[in-house]
Amino acid sequence: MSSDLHVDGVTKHFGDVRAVDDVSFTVEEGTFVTLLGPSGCGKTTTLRMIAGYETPTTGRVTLGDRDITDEKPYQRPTSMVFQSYALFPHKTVGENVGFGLKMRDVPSEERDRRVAEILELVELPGTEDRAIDELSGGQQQRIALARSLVIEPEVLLLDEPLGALDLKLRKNMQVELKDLQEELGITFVYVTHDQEEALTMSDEIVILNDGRIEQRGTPAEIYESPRTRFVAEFIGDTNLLDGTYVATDSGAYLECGSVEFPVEPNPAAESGATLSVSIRPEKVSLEESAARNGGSTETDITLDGVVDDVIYQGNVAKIHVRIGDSELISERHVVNSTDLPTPGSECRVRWTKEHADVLVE
Amino acid sequence: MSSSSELSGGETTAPSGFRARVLTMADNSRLKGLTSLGPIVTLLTVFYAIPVALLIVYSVFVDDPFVTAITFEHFARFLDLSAVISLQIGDLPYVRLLARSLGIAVVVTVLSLIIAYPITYYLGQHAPERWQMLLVLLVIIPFWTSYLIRTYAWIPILSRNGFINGALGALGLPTVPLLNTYWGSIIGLVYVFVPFVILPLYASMRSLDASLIEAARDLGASRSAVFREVVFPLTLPGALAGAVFVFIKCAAAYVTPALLGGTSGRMFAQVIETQFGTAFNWNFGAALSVILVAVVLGSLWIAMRLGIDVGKSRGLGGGGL
Repeated sequence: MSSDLHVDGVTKHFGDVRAVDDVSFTVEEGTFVTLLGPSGCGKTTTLRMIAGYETPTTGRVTLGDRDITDEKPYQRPTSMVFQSYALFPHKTVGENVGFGLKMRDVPSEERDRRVAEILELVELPGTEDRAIDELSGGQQQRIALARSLVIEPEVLLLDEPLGALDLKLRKNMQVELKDLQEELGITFVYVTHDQEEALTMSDEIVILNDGRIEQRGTPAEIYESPRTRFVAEFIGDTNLLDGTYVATDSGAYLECGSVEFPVEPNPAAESGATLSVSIRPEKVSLEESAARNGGSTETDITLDGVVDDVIYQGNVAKIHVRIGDSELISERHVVNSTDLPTPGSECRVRWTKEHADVLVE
Repeated sequence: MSSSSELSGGETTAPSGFRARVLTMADNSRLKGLTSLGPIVTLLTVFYAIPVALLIVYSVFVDDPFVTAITFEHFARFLDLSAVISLQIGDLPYVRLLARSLGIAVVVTVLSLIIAYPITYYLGQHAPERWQMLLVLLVIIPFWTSYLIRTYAWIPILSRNGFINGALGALGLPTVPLLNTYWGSIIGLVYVFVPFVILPLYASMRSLDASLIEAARDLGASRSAVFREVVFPLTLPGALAGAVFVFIKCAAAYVTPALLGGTSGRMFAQVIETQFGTAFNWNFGAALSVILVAVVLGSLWIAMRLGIDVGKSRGLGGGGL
C-alpha cells in the first residue's frame, strides 16, 4: 500500500490571521519535498499541521488511506526534527536518542542496540554517554536526526534543521541529508527559507507565499520555468522585463518600450495585461556588435544594446546591458578575463524564446 | 565546542607581556570589586552578623545577670526529654516539638510544590502571553496586605462554623475541625508560602524551551512522562530555590501557628518567643534559636548532598544549587 502524504485544502486561521490558505499538495512516498518560502509564508504552520501540533481550520491531512488530521503527534507515524534541535539538555546522547524507544517500552537491550545502530548511521558511533552540551552544533544536529529516525517514522518532518549551522557545515549536511534520505527511503518534508538549500536537496519544491502555494515542481521546473513574479525573484537571480503582453493566434509577444519580442504563450495571462517576463542571466548570451549574424527569428531573440557595467566575480562575470529603457544582465563563465567586453561598447544580447517566462502576479 | 578550544589556543600563543598585563588588570578589578562590596559587607555585619553573634553569646551564658560564666545547660535542657513544654493536650519535650516543626515545614514545602507545579506549568507554557503578567500579578497581590491580616482572614474560613465547614455541612458532609489544629497550621502556611515557590518556578517554566515538550510528545511521551522526563528535571533548580526558602521560613514560622494552629499545631518559634517574652529566660531562648538555625542548616546541607548524589546518578551534574 502506498503511503503518500496528502495535504488537501488545508487552511489555518490564527484569530483574524490566515496563516495557511487552501493549501493542497501530495508528497509521494520516499521522496524529498521542500516547503520553501520567506518567513511568515505559512510553511512552518503547514509542517506543524502535518506533525499534529496544529489542527487545520479546514482541510484534511491523510497518509495513504489514513486520515491523520485529528491524530495527536505521537499517534502519527511522523517525527519532527526541530530548528533548535530540542535535544534534552539533562540527558546523555544515548538517553536522547533512545527516548522514543523508551516511551514505546522497547526493552533496554534492544534499545541500546538500535541506538548504537542509528548513531553509526549518523556517523557518531560510541557517543552514547556524552553530554549534549559537549557536542558541536553539527553533531547536535545529527543526534536530533538520529533521535527522530530511531523510531522509524514513515514521514520525517524537518523544520529548518540546518538554520543554526555555519555555511560550510550546512553545505555538507545538505548533501548528507539527501544521501541519508535516499538510503533510508523515508519520506522527508523539509521546511526552509533558503532557496539554494531547496534546489540542492529536493525532489520537489512547494513554494509558499502569504499562506498560498505559488508554484510546485522539481527544482529544475521551478528554476527554469517560474510562473509568478514572486517565484522568479525568490529563486535565484533573474532579469525582469516589464511590458504589455499580447497574445494572438499565431503566437505571443511582449511590447517593452521601443522593442518587442516573441515569448512563450502563458494561458494564465490575459492579452493586453501589463506584466513581467523573466529571463535568467545565464540564458542571455552576449555578442560583440561587429559579429552581426542576423536579427530575431521566431525562436531566437536578439536585441542591440550598450554595455553598461561589467562585474567580475571570479568564475563568472555579470555584464549589465542597457537596451532602450531597460537593463538586462548577462552572466557568463569566465575563462579569460581579457575576453570580457568593455563598458560603453555596443553589443547584442540573445536568448531563446523558451527561456523567457511570462509571469503572472 | 570548538570555539572554546580556539580561545584557549589563542591564550597560550599570546605574548607573555600581554598576558602579564591582563593579569594585573584582573587583580585591579578584583580589588575594585572588594572595595565596592564594602557598604554591603558593613550592612550585613551590623544588621545580621552582630545579632547572630549576640544570640550565640547569650546561649552559652548562665541565666543570672550577676554571674558571668559559660555553660551548656540550656542546650542540655533542650535535649532533656523530661524537661517539657506544657500543652493542654499533654506535655511535650523540646526535641519532639522541634521535630514536629521540621515535619510541618517538610509537609508545607511538599504541598507548596504540588500546588505550584501545575499553576506555573500553565502560566509559563500555556497561558496566552498577554494574560501572563496579569496572572503573575494575581500571585503577587496578596503581598500587598499584611501577613498578619491575611492570616486573621483564615480564622472565619477555618472555624467550626466557618466557610469550609459551612460548605461541607451544606453538602451533607460531616464537618472537620480545622482551626486550632495541626492542619490549621499547615493550611495557613501553605497559603502564605505557595507564592514563594510559584515565582522562581515560573521563571524556570518560562525559560523551558517549549519545543522540548513538543519533541517529547512527538517521540511518544504521555503527559505524565513529559512531566517526569522533561519538565520536572529541567525546572528542578527553580523548584529547589523556592523549596529551600519555604522550608527555612516555615521551620521558624510563628504567626501562622499562633493564630491558626492551636496546641496541636504549635511550632518551635512559639516556644522561643515564650522564653524571650513571657519566661524572660533569654539565655534559654537564645539557645533554642541557635539550635533551630543549626538544625535547619544541617538538614538543608544533608538534603543538598542527597540532591547532588541523585543528580549525579541521573546525569544532572551538581549544578543548580
